[in-house]
Order: sequence, then C-alpha cells, then structure tokens
Amino acid sequence: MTLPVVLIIEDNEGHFRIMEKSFERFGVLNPIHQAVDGQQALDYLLRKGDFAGTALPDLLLLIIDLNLPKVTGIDVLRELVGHEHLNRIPRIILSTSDEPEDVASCKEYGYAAYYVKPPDYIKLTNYIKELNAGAGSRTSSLPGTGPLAPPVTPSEGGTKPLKPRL
Amino acid sequence: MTTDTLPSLKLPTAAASASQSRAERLWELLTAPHPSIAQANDRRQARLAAVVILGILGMFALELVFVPSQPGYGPMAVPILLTCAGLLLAYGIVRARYVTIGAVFAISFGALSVVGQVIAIPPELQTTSTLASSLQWLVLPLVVGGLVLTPQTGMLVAVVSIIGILFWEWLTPQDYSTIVTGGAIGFTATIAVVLIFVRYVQERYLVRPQLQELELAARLLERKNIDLERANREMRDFAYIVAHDLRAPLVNLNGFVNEAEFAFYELQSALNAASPHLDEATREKATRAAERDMPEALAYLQTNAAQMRSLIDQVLKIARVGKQELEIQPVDLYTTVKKITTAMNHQLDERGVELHLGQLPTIQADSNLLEQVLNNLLDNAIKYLVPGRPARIDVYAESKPGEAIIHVQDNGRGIEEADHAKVFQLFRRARNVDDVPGEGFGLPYIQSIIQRQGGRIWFESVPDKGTTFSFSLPQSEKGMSS
Repeated sequence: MTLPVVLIIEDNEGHFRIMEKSFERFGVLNPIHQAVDGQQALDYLLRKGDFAGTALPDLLLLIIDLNLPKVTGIDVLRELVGHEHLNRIPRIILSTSDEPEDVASCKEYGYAAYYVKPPDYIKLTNYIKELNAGAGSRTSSLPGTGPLAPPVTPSEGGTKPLKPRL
Repeated sequence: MTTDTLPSLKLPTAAASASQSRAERLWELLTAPHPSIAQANDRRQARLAAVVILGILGMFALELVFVPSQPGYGPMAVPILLTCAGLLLAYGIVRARYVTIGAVFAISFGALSVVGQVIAIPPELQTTSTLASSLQWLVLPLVVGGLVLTPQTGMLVAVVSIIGILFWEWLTPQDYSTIVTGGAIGFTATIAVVLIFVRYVQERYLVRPQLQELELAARLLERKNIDLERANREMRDFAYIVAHDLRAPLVNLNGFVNEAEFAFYELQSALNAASPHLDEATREKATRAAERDMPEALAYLQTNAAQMRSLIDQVLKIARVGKQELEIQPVDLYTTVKKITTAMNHQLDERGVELHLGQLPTIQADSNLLEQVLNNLLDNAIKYLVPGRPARIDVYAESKPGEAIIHVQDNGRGIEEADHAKVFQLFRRARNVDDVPGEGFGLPYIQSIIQRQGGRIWFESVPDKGTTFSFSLPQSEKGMSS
C-alpha cells in the first residue's frame, strides 16, 4: 500500500531539506513532494500547468510556508477554501513570522497548526504519524476549516534545537 | 526638509506690555525701526485705530460746525460719550482679544447718549423728530459694533438704520430737523462706508497675511508629521525585514548545525572503529578534530545562532510596542506588586531582601504592560544588589496632578555617572554588571511600553548606594484614588 503524500510548499531549499531529513530520520515513510512557490502549489493541487492531465495523488498533509514569491502562502490558503476536496486536507502553516496579522489571516482560512520556524520536528513527525494511523477516517474526522485539535499557538511553536539521539 | 523654512510666528508677549504703559507701547509700535512680524501687525492695527478715532472726531467737528444751533442739541455729553465709545472701540481693535468687549461698550455708550439727549431736550421741544435725531447716535455705535463683530452685521445695521430713519422722516411732519436727520443719514452712511473700508483693509492687510503665515506653518507641520509617520512606518517595515529576512537564513544555520552534529556523531563512531588501523600521526590529527575542534566549533555555532535569534526576537518585540493595542483600566498597584513579589519570593529570600511596600493606590494603566514594567524593575533591583550587604527594596507611588508616579528603590550597586546614558539604550549595559547575565534589553523595552502609555521613566543613582527607578503614567481627572 502506498502512503499518502505530504506536500511541502516551501521556496527555501535549506528549510525544505532540513524538514525532509528530519522526516527521514524520525521515520516518516510518506512520499514528500515539494512546491517551490505558491503558483506551483496551486498548479499541483488544481492539476494545471505542468501537472495538467495527471491525477492528484492522495494527500495526507499540506505544509505551507507563508512567505513565498509571487503567489503567497495566504493566497494558497484562500484558494483551498473554494475547493471542497482540497479544503478537507489538513494543513500546517510554517513561517518565520509570528506577526499577529499573519496568524490572524491564516486563522481565517483554518489550519491544523501554526509553527514559527524552526518547528519542533519531533512534534511534526508525530502529527504525520497520527494522520497516517487515522488515514482511513481522516476525511470525516478532520474538518478542513478551523483549527484542528490540538491547536498549536505560535508561541508554542517549537524553538528547541534538536539534540542528536545516539 | 530643514527646519529653517518654518517662519517664526512671534506673538506679543504679556511681559512686554506689563512693564510699559499702553501709550508707550503704542508709540514704540508706531516708531520701532525694525519691527517683528507681530510688532508690524500691531503697528498696522494701531494706525487703523488712529484713523477710526480721527474719523469719528472729524465727523463731530463737521456736525458741530454745520448744525450748531438746533434746539436741544446742546449737551456736549453726546460727542464726548461717543468719542469714548470710539476710543474703546479703537482699543478693542488694537487689543484683538477685547474686540467684542469694545463693540459692546460702544453700543452701550451710544444707548446712554440717546438717553442723555432725550433728558437734555426740554419736554416742550420734544417731537418724534428730535427722538429720531437722537436715535442716530445709537445707529453709529450699532454700525461700529456690528462691523467689529462681522462686516455683514455692520452693513446690515447700517442699511436698516438708513431705511428706518428715512421711513421715520417720511412718517413724521417736518418741523425743524430736516438738516439734522439728513445730516444723520449722511453721517451714518459715511461712517458705515469708512468702517467697511477699514474692515476691508484690516482683513486684507492684517488678517489675511497672518492667516497665510499660519496656513504655511500648518502645512509645514503637516508635512513634518507625514515625514515622521513615514519614518515610523519605515522603522516598522525595517523591523519586519529584520524578522523575516534574517530569520530565514537563521533557520538554515540552526538546522544545518544540527545536521552537521548528527553527521559528526556518525563520523565519530566510524573514527573510533577505524582508529586502530590509522598511523600515529593521522590518528592524532583525527582525534584532535573529533574531540576538540568539531565539538568546539559546533557549540559556538549553536550558542551564537541562539543568541542571534534572541536578539532578532527582541528587536521585533520592541518595534511592535508601537502597534500594540492598549487596554487602560483601573489597576490595583498593591495587588499587582504583591503578585509579582510573591512570584519572586525565592529570589527575595535567597538574597535576604527586606521588601517595603509604601502607598500603592489604584491607578489607570494597561495591567499587562504595568506588570511587565514592575516585574522588570524589581528583577533588576534584586539582580544588582551588593552581595553580602543587607538588602532593602522599596516600592511606593505618589499621585501628581494628571499622573501617577511609581518608584522602585534599591540599595544595590548603583549606576556610575559615565554609564547613565547607556541605561535605556538597546543592547548596552553598564560596566559594573559583567557578573550578572543580561542582554541590555529590559530597560529599553519597558521604556518603550511606558512611552506607549504616554508616561516617562527615569532614575536617580548613587554608585554603591543604590538606585531609584521612577516612572509616570498619565491619569485622567478621576484617576488616582487610595
């Protein structure tokens, strides 16, 4: 059985790599796809442009960076709300910003969690594993809008540096 | 933009007029060789006043020459009273503040002169016409008074009075006073025209230039405000850039230092395994790199990245204060201080601090911000005590008109004179605090949040004796109550 995809919308290659490596280290086996900006993310999700004519993979989670070139993370969130099948996918906001305005505008469109970078990768990994475990029923148990349990406020967004486990 | 484009608006000062008599002041105004803007304006006003006074006196002279022998016209009180009225009026024009009073006096004196004339004319000679001629003396001050208030009122009064007198003349059988009433009409109309002209001149050459100056000053001020606003906005944008553009590479720095650490530990265990197979020199180099150089480099990278993150967070925090919404409400200072000191009990006991709470009333403040301020000041007071000396911290407040002042006093190490300037500077610290960890953020931050609430913060300090930090918070009328 193939696992559903985690789509990471992130323009900063380093941020993406750190996340990808952490997932690998902590045992996330889901395929990880990257969209390098908001436009590519929308093309991917709506099957347009380069992705036209192909089927949308089964998506487990969207990880969205806010500060993206051209089409921003907020624009992506706004677009998602209009599509029932996309709106159901849980999303985690990852941003360098903890500006109250940014948090508020994201909240308007709903998210599972808002993390200020760098996130607590262990927490993030555990969340993905939970989603994997409940994957069969997730469409009914996880509404697309409104913060999902457990809501994570920006101040709780992990800033602890990871310690290597040897 | 420079400040020297702003014209100086000098207003006559109270001090200047207090030491001189009014006449001296007028004379000086009229003759000063290089008047200031305000003096020049006063001079023009004084000239106008002189024209008005002379005009009125001239009218009386003419009237006395051409209609000298009317029955009952006798009482010289009339022109005298009117002259007084004119003088008062002129005074009113010179002292613009009293212009309304001048107008009221002029009208009252005019009314009095009518009464005077009616009383002075023998009853057997009194006709409706003599009454009409008396009324002209009321008309003039009314016109003058009206003109002083607004030109429109003055003109309206003039026109109504002229029509009224003509109508009265037409109604009543003529006896002897055609000349008087005719003269009165001409007189009133002339005065009205003169005064309207005076008023125009006054507007054109006195009021308008002043208004223009004021408008210019207002425009410059507005432009300055816009500049300031823009500077503030730029500052906030700058903070935003700091937050995001600096945080992004920092995330990578942190992340890849951790990655390097992971990789390094892998390499280290591989090295341990391979160690016996290496020659002496290589093993020594590899061991030094693995046991000393790499861990040291990683530790430095990690602590410095963390420090940089903390600095960026603090810059952001202080930049955001200006945008913060305030929630000013009554806050019980005593309860607030008690709450903070209770939380600090451990530190207080550890340093053996004797804590004295003075009068701490209910004040108006944002409770959250107030708590941060007090927390920071108390924390500092404890941190910078002199080890081994009996410690005492006093917290007390006083209410002044419009503000509450709160003092936090300690008998700690104090701040040296040379370091006073650094106290409220971001990331600067005094030289005598190297033994106490700190970043130089707390005081600048609380200064920002006190200023955000419209207050001030300051301190008095004697090295080795102690420091008193004081801050004020604005209080509205019903502000402070015990």
